[in-house]
Amino acid sequence: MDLEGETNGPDSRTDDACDAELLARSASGDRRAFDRIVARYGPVALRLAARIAPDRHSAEDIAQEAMVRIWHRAADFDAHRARFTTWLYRIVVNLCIDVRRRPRPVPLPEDFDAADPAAGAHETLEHDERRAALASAMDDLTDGQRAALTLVYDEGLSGAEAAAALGVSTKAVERLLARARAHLRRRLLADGDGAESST
Amino acid sequence: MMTLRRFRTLADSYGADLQRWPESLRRQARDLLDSSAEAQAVMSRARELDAALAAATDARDARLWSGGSSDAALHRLRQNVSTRTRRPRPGGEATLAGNDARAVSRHRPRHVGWVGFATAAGLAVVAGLTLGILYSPTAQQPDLTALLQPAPLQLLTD
Repeated sequence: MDLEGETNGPDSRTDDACDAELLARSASGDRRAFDRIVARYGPVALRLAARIAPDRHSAEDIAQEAMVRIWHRAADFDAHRARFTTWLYRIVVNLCIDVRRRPRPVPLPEDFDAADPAAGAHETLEHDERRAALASAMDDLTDGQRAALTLVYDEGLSGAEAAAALGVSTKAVERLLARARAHLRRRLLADGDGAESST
Repeated sequence: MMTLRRFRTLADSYGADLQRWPESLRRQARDLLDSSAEAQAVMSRARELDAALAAATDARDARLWSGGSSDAALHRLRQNVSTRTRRPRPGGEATLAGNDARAVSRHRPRHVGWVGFATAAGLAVVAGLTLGILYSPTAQQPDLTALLQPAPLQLLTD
């Protein structure tokens, strides 16, 4: 997946100032400034949504809706109170949770009509089954657990930053992470017995 | 000094990469890791789960994005957002005037716009009638040379 976007790097303060400036200009109707926001953070929104949302189409809808909301509410952003990325994460996570709550039809898998290769079909099947099992383990997590895992493990946020994005305490994030890992240990590791703390 | 119990709790949440752990606790965690076999065992198991978790995340990504579909998704995202943000913002104009325009529109009574439009239309009608009366063609037909003269000059010299 090529959804590399902005991350929390050493130049994050410069980025924050730049984001705030672009948001201020967007709030004044400067579409070029907002295009830069979309170019910088569209991949981040899509990547995050894809990790939490139930399917790809929902993820695309969520990323799009998040960017449109940012355009409409750009004037509400206060750089003194929060980083832009924290705001973005929060919008995306909330939209993901809203989508999960709605009843939806069960979609066909993306590769439901994929051809079965003649050579190495058995190995391919085993590989696919293993990948499906791994992916399924992630699907079984709750929205909050998946969001916490994504923010801390994939986006590189600290527990406190993830807590700010999710609107919960740092302790709550740590509990979400611990439960997610305990679940994945049971599902993914044959000798798993609950958690790291069992040793 | 960090207790083994606290160390386990943090490993349960943040895994084996100390960079994810709260910054204020990393040094204590490293000290314990250097001196405790139990702490090293906890980290070893956490590392094992980290690897499985990364594989699970990759598997889910591969299921979602195959054959460059993420590039197509990004293209759709930019296009759709661009289309949707061309529409006026709710409660304000999406113009270069921005905040100022919104501030004005919030404080301007709705009927002011209609009164202005009606006044402008009335003035245009009156101006048209006046010009028509003043500069209507006379019975005398000008010759071809006069017709080819620039109209404003002709109006001024008549």
